[in-house]
Amino acid sequence: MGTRWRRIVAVSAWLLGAALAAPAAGNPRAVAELRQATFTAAGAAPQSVELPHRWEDTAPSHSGRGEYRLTFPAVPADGLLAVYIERACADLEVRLNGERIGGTLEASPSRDCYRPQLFTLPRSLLWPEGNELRIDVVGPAAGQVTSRQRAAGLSAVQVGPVEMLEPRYRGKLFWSITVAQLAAALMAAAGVGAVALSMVRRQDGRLLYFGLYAASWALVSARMFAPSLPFGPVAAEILAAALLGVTFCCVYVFLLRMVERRWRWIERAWWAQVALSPLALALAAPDHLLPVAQVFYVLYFLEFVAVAAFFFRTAWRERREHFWGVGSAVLATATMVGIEASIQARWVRLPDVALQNLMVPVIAAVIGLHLVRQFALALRRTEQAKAELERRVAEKSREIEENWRQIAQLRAAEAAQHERRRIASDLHDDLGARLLGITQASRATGAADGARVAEMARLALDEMRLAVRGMTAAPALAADVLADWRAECVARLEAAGVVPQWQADEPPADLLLPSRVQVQCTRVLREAVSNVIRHSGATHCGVRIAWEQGGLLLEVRDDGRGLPATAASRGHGLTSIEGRIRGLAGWHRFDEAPGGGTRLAAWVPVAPSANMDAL
Amino acid sequence: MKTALIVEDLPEMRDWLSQVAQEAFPGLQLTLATRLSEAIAALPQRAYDLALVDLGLPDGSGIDFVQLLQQRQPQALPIVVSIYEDDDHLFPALQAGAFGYLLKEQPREQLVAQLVRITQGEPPLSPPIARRVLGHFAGATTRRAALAQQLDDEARLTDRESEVLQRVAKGYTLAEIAQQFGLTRNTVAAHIKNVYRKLNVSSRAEAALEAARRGLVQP
Repeated sequence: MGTRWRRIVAVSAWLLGAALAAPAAGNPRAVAELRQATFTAAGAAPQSVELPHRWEDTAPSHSGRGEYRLTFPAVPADGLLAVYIERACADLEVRLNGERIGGTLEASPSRDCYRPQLFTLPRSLLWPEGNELRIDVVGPAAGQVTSRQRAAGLSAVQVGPVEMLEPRYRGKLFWSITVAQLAAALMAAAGVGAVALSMVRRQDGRLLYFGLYAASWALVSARMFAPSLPFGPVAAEILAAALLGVTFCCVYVFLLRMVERRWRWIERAWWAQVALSPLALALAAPDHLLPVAQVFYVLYFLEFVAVAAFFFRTAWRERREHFWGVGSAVLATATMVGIEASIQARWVRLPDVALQNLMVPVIAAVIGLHLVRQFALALRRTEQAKAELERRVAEKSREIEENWRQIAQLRAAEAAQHERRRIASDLHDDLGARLLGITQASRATGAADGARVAEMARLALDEMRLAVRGMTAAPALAADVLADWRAECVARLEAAGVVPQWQADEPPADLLLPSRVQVQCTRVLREAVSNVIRHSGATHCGVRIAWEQGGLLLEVRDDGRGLPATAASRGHGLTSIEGRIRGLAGWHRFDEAPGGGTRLAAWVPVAPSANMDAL
Repeated sequence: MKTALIVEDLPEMRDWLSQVAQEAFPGLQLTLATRLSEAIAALPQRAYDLALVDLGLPDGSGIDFVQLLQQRQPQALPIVVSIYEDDDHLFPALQAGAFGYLLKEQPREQLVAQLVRITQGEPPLSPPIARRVLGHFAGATTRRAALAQQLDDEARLTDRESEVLQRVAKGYTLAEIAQQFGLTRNTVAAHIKNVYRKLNVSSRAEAALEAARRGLVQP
């Protein structure tokens, strides 16, 4: 950022230099510059003076009318001659050899001293030699103005061919008047714009004070070009000084706002000072305006230096982004104020160009650009933040939706689980209790039929329990299921006096069996073992469990009587085994075991994604 | 075994249990209760050696009574009688101090035999229960270092006890385990008995610690 601002400052300086250098262009050899004149203040003795001349050098308190007489040497035989006066304060009338050739002595209140004058010299009035120019000037004494530039006086006078003087005149007119007017108009527009913007953004005090600064300066400089003013020259002087105070005050507050400072008491004191200056000047009017104004100028200068120093220090520490942008403008202002102070203090010669009319707009433009840039940056940040925010909001929305979906799923699962538990508990407590009742009641009879009924009721209870487990149980680890099967089979076979042979392959690690598979296989195994115990008359029973072809293989074989031919399709236990295996999309087979006896082989598929069936 | 308390709300079941108990321990003096409140009221009447407690009572859970019995009459042997065989129902009862469980639908001879075995110090231990017990002790030592430190040996499983439990969890019978470790069946049964006792002790310690953590009681 720093280099860009340095570049802008450099370009501005170059432009300014070009502006100042422009009036010096031209061929001076054919133009005679008249530097000697006889000056006669009204009612005083004539005295010889050197041009440029200021009345305060020879007649400090004189105001009103003064008369310069100049002689110019022999003139060329042909060509149109003209007299060019760069600067006259404030109004003038020009006579050639006694005849009026231009100008007017009606004092204008605006005192536009920097307006150049060009008058052609009529050939008919010219003498072969010894021509005399008489320039009457009407102007205020130094004490009657609030800026030394406006004190009465006359610049050097140039006489020469009109075609050589006219470019100088036009150049001077352009730089001193046109550019200044343009700048004043731009400043006014910028000021009004900034103030309007600050109305919208009240929290941004910088814009308000920048706008007021630009607008008040526009007023200060535009006053010079007003064709007429609704008040007299003294009031115009006081107003100009007061407006300058407003401008400075706005600059101070603006600089403080740039570094985020808001010192109410100091600001109030400054505004009081602004209000005080026209009062003090009014008291000093009409003859002691300048000294009083100078007191204020010195004050402004010191205040400005203090505020600028504070600004630089704070901006460097806290708001580095303003340091170069505003800082260069502050430096330029400081330079200008310094030059201006030197002029007012008469340390330097009065310049031919109204420096401040050119520099202040450039400074304002630099600050304005900086503010616009800040504004644009802020806008961009805001837009980025907004885009980021929108992105985050969209992301969060997706997250929330996803969470909702999951929560809804969980809730549904939980509700289903809850309901299953309720049904299971009802089954246990009601159906289970009744079945239990049947078991005990039939046992109590002691008859053989009673025992059979008791056994049937017990089996029904068992079925119910398995059904409940199928409903409520979560998928179980295959290894755990195998352990349960082993415990049950071995215990039952041993209790029945059958020697168990248990052989089970290690199940795939972390394999989960869905509760349906678990429950149905438990029933199949239980049924098969029951058959062995009850019907086979076997002494040995082998149970083998293997994990083959993506499924679970159950094999129960015994060394008993073997399968009766009809039982394969009709036995109650066998048909129920068949139904269960088919329900699991598996296959089963009854055949004869290698050493005699019966063998049941059953296979059911176990999906690798069994875990997903958990819900 | 001279005195027993039977807490069961179903009349047939109550009679059935009475018969089973009489058969297992001839001359046993029985006190019958149909509800939790009756059972509590029966507590001061005499000292019981045995208590058969149904889990689902009309006015509360048998687990609460098991806990109460543990405090009031530590000498009594609480046995849970249930229609539920799943560990979700049985495990809390064992934690509360039940020393075994009987499944209601078993034939009388089997029930009598089991009851006798339990009182002789051979409580039943199915693989799911064994897994739950293992999980309980593993959790007590890994998840809760503080608890693990507080628990003395009384509430910690020995290596052998753990091994026995692991075998049970894998579906081996007591006889098989005894054979595998070269122990007698009685020794293995004693290990299982200890597991029951320690489960109760550590569960109580854990509950007390949890209560202290929540500020319910001063530690």
